[in-house]
Amino acid sequence: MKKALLILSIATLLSLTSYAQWSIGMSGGGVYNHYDYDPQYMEGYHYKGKFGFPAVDLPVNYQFNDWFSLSSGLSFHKKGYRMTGVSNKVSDTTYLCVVRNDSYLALPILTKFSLPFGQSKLKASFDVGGYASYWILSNYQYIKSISGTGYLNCEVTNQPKEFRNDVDRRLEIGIVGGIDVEYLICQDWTLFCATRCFYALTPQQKDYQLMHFPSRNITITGQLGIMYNFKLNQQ
Amino acid sequence: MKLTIIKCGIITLLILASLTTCKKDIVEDPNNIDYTTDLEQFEAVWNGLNTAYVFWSVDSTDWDAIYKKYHPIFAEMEDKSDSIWVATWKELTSTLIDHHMTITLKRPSSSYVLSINPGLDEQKSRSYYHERPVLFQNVHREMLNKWVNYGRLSDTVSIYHFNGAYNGKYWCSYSGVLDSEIAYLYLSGFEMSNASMFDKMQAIEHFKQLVIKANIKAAIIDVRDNPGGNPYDISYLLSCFTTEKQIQVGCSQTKLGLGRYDLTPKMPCYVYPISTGQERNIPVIILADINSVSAAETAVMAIRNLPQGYMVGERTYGANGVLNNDFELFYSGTFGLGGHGHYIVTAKFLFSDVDGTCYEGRGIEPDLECLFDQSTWDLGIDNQLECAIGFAKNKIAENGN
Repeated sequence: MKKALLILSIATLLSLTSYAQWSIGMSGGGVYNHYDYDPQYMEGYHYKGKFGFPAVDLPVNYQFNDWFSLSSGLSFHKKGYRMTGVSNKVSDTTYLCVVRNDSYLALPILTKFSLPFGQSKLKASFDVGGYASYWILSNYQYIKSISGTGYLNCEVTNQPKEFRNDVDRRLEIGIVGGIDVEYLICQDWTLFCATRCFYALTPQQKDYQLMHFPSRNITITGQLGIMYNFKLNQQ
Repeated sequence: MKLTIIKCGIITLLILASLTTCKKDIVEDPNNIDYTTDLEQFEAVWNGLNTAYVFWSVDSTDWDAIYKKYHPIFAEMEDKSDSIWVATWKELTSTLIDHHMTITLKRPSSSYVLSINPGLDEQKSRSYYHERPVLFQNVHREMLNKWVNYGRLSDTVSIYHFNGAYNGKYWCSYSGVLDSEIAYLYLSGFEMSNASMFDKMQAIEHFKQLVIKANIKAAIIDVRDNPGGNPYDISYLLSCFTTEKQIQVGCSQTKLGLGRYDLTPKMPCYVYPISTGQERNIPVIILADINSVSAAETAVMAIRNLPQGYMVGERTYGANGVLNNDFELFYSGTFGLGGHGHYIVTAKFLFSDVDGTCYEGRGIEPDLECLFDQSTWDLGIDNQLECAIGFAKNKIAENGN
């Protein structure tokens, strides 16, 4: 039933369009991931956001009219966090450093509302929608641990994180919003830059224990890209 | 029309975002909790272990089920006797695998003090369990002295002294040559890195001198009845057997967050032998028993990582996690205050073998099992040492010597 309604809605929208075009493209840029985690009494553990590269998108856009379009496509985001353990009880006050990279493959679905600047080739869009992404890989880029017990002092790089089915929630669902600025270079090509905020509604861990405080990703991407426009019909 | 749609989008976004920021629970620092009832004490200890215990990834205890089962019991505990209170605590902690663990509790209502060692109880349940022989070091030394008289043991150095810092116990080290070709060292504990021990190193230094002699074709390091100490001492022992600058003894994991499985990946731990320039690649047999604990077990792991390292004896005690009382570092391990309502001694790091196998709670299996025999011991025969000597001689023969 829901499926039929969806098809009907899309068909209605299509029938209303007097101007429609497909665009596909590619964009690249960077990611800033805010690791939303409450460590409670662990006050010496500081979790910080992390910049990650690259963020790569393969967007597909369907434009219904000059102000409304739907956009989707695959996105690769390198998220993660930086963490330090700090205590004034040791000579080297920072006794723990951790950098973790979490790679996600995302599929956002965005509704885009465009605001053309008069008759110019420049156009700004406000995007809002949802996304689903899958946590494909995770590794600890760097860990340094100074314990005070000599042989337990460790420094390692590029250690893979082993996923646990009962703990790690690898499917992330969330909402996404952003702003695009597009410039029509010629009839077929559009240059654009986009910034988006991916707000995860699902935590990174399953609810596997009592008194659980899972982390959550809030990710901002900034990208530059180009789209190729296919005109479908013109009346 | 366009603005209306945009406004609706923004409002929807904000509502969804606000729905996801609610948090219900608060976990208090297990070192700073005041309570007045048995139930509050249960919650404090349960929460403390929930976050500070490092073995959840290898411990099969269902800690949530423990909470659900015992929370209502402690809610009704106030009228119950101290013996019921003690039995309940023993039951709920009985399956925890941390063999360093000691749980000391003072009952809020009666001030009754309880101390539980789940590891000791597990040790006693093993089929090959035996008490620490009374004054093992004394009896053992007398046996070795007899061997000197028989001519089986020569070139000996024995150090035996009371070390107040070492749990008020006597500390013993004994070195010599067995059957003219095997260097032997007995160590009652790992305390060489302790400054007070620097003048008590003669037996260990003597052992190292023995190893480099041409007639020595194998070595036995005896850590039976050795309760551990400072694992850094292991570098002293390894320095005469390897030219490697570092030997991996195992892997450690530390806490990264509040969750039970929030741990670092397994990180390699090394000891750094001090080169003597005269290292010998000969069979090294470490002789360990059910009373070999902690650093003694780490020594077993380290020696087995030598090219010709082996273990003979019994499955060890199984306390491989590392203790460190400073809770603020890594927010794991021992918590509570002595004399307060709870004081829980537990390991700060999850320690596993080089290949990632964790022996906590079950101990390390020997390459050649040889169980302690009280009846032969009473006759002055050390069957385990004889077993280690036989094993060493087989290895010497295999090497073609």
